[in-house]
Amino acid sequence: MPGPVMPDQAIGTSMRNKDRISAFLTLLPSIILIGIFVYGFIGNTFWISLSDWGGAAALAENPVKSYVGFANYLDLFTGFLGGGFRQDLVNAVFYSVMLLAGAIGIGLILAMLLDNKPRGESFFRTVFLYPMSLSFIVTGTIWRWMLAPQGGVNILPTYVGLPPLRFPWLSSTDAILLFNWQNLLPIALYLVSLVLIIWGLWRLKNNPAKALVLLIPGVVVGGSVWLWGDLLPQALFMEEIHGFNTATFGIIMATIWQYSGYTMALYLAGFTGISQDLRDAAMLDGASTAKYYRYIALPMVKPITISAIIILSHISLKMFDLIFAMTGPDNGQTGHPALNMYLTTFRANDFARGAAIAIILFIIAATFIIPYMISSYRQRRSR
Amino acid sequence: MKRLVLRACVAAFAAVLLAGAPAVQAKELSGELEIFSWWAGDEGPALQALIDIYNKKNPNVKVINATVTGGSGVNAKAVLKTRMLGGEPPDSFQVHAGQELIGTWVKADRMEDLTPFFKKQGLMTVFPQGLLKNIGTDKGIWSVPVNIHRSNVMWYIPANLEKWGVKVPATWDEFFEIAPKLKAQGIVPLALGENWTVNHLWESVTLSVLGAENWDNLWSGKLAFDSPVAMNAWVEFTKVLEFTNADASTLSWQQATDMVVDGRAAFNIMGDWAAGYLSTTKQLAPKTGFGWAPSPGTSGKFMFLADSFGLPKGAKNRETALAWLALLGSREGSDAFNPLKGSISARTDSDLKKYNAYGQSAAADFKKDRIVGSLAHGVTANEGFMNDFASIMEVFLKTHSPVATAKAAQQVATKNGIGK
Amino acid sequence: MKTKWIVPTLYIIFLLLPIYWLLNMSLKNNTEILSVFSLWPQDLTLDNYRVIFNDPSWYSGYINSMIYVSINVVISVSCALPAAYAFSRYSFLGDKHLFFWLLSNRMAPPAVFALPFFQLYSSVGLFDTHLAVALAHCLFNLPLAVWILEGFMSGIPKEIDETAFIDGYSFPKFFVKIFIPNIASGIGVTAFFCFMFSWVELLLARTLTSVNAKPISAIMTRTVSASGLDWGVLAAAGMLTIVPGALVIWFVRNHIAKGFALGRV
Repeated sequence: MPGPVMPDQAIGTSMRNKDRISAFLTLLPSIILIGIFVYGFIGNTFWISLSDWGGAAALAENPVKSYVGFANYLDLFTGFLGGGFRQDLVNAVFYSVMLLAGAIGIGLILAMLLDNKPRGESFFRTVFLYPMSLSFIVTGTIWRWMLAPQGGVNILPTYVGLPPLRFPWLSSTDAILLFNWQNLLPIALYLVSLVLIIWGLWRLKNNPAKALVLLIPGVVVGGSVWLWGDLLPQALFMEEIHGFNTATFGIIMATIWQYSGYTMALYLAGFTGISQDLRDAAMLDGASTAKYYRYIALPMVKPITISAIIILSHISLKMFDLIFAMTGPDNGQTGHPALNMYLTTFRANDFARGAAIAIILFIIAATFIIPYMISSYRQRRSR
Repeated sequence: MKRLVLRACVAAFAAVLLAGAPAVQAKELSGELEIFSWWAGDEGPALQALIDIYNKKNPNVKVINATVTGGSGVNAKAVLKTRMLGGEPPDSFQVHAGQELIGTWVKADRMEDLTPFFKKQGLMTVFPQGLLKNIGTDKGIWSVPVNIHRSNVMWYIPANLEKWGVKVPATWDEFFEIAPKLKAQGIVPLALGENWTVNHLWESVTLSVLGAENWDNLWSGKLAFDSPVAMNAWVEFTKVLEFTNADASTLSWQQATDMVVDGRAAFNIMGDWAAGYLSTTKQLAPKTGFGWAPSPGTSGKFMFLADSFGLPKGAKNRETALAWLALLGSREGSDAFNPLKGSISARTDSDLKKYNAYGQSAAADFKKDRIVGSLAHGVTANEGFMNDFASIMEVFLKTHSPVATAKAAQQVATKNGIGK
Repeated sequence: MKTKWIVPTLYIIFLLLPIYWLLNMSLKNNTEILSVFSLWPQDLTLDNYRVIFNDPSWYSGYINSMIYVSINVVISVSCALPAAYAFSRYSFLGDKHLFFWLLSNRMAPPAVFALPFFQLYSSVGLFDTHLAVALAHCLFNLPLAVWILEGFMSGIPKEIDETAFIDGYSFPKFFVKIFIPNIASGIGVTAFFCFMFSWVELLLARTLTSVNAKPISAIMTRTVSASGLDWGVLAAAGMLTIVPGALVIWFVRNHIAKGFALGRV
């Protein structure tokens, strides 16, 4: 995020002691409260996830809980009955990636189109934000009807004389991009090497030295997995196929519908914030509109992209209302860890396992957020 | 003359009721009563009718009607659990009769044994034995069933069947004979809806394959899920699924029933709440407009599910809650509630005149049929098994292998202590 | 240049079509919704809305939601004002660490908190009160409010404070009379985002209430009932939940641009 203008940051050293004390006292209550609530509660949940609280007597007045270490986690990732959870995790990954690509892509393109047209901007922004004020339950209800096989989206083409679509938006049982969970380790390493190689090629033009640092490990990792991948331990004792279920398309569409207006507003603000002089200067130098965005505007709104990624991935990780409303519980095709957690805890009474899923979600959310925090933090400090 | 006899009967019954009631009626109850349910919307009026009677009998009791709506009780159950954990039980709460209550709340020692209450109210004889077996354990009886629904019913439109020239199949083999013919005409032989209706279909198919005895054995742990007999159910289920619609998972059960009404599908297996939908919403006359039969291979078997209310230990208003349970078990209460809800009374002596044609036929079957419990609606298995049943279905739909599925089912059963 | 407008216009249609769909459904009766597909109601009826306005179990949901959302917005904004002021005006050891730490708390999934919150509330008797939901939502809204307000406050030059003190204003008087009017749009934007979160949040609101404070979104989750689902009423309820959000967006539409420009929303 572009830090705000902070004219007074430099004065910091001349601060009086009294200020520090009063500032600290103002903040103390909120810090203590949040500390207790957030960390106390997360700690509590983590402790439950290490216990065996669940099963028949889980709801007794004083349930017997004993410490079982990481057994719940182990079971989720490698147990026979964790297959549903693993598919949910895979869904969540595809779901996040598609949501990010869709919402950011659409938001960015629209912002570019509306850029430099300040007259309608306020109107568009207002309209685009409306879907955000809908609760997921309402969104889910609408889209469930829109995507019904016999109605809605599928018969829209008939209004312009085309044959109706036949795509089973929410009921498809097809899956693409299949992989075997047993091969999780090699696949993860391949992905790492792919990312390193692409990143290296990207950097090759500007900073060849750094590019090599990325390219060489990338090629080495990829090559060695290709050669000796069989030696890696298998993640599961049996074959288990997971993939991208096409039934999640409908849910992804509904989420993009709800959030693309938000990303558009973010980018539009970013573009408007770039001074007109800079743009004029670029145009005078003969830059095309495409080049202007590629080399000037996009790099300048990079912080916005990062913050949009954070916010959207966070939303995609914790949502369950929308899936609940659109395809209901127990729909393995469109499951999500958050929904699984809710059902495991409150329907199966398996509190420990539910807590373990919650903690896994929390850790995934943290891996998205901590790098963002660090980068924001560095940015502010450099001012 | 007939009317006179009937009147005399009613009067006699009223007298019996009054004679039995004074124990509760004698001291004027006051205070509060909080009842917790997921009945709202269409079931709201039925519940309200009960509350109205209760208010009339106990004018000094303030009834707090706590409904948490949604998804056959998923939300309500979550809220109930947090309340019990927090030590704030409602005075009486709605729960599916059977293992859904026993496996969760009775095992956790949070419910009061209602056997003395049943004896005092004379309920031991008016409820069928098959029902009492399912709502109790060797340690007691745990809830008062308010209504009875039947799960294994097949619905159709008589006029349509005549048009297509097919008869109602009495067994699955007969169904497999006519299904390809229907398919050839572009008609879906069996309409199916979202995931829970798949479980619903599974229990009907499995009951027909196993028979009532083995069905009970499955849940008492005497018959293993991966035994050859039980595995046959999955083989049969595979065959049945071939004749269902592909878009099932996006349809609500009403939409699946609509397929039958619109003539896009021939049959639909659904609980008997469909009767209310067909007659009230779709304005079809029972028997002539729409028809029903036990699902193939299950005639003479009544797979029931019931909503019931129990008494949690530590309820703040135990006395008013007992009066509430007494009302639910009474003939007056159940005959006020059930015609509105579209279900039948759990009592074998209910006043059939208050019920419609379907209700009368169901009540007749309820009296004479072999009664078994439903899985999909919480009678035969605890909540842990119910939840994991979703992953069994997932294994099944992914692999289409009866062997793998049966093995998974056995693992789930062991994990959740089925039959213990 | 005209082509530039086509895509945004199509996009607006894409955005508004589902909302129109909802409106369309809310004006039909159930038979029509379930049986025929039509772009506009064949048999226009306001019955669905009438049901909601006449049935306490429906309209009380709106009232409950409004109450706890308002409480939440008031608490969040009033607690965040001093904190944000401290962050924007004073610098002290570790202030930036603290600031980001505060914000990071917002990112925890609400599911982690449902059960602990419940146990706490039942022991102090807060369960099923509006305050309970409002306080639970503060966990997420307070950091957000500090974050947005700090952005706006840092945009106000510090000289204003100093001039006011020289002019003999006491701190509280300065804060209320001079400072707050200066960041009014910031407060508006903050209130908007707090409102949005609290209005659509479901998991905590549903778990922490049972009768007296049950929010409208929890009432709306009624899906399968034994004799069918009232799609028309559900659609009407959905339409009505849009109204408060739309009103709030309308009121802050001009300030919100500033919020986006600051990169704080």
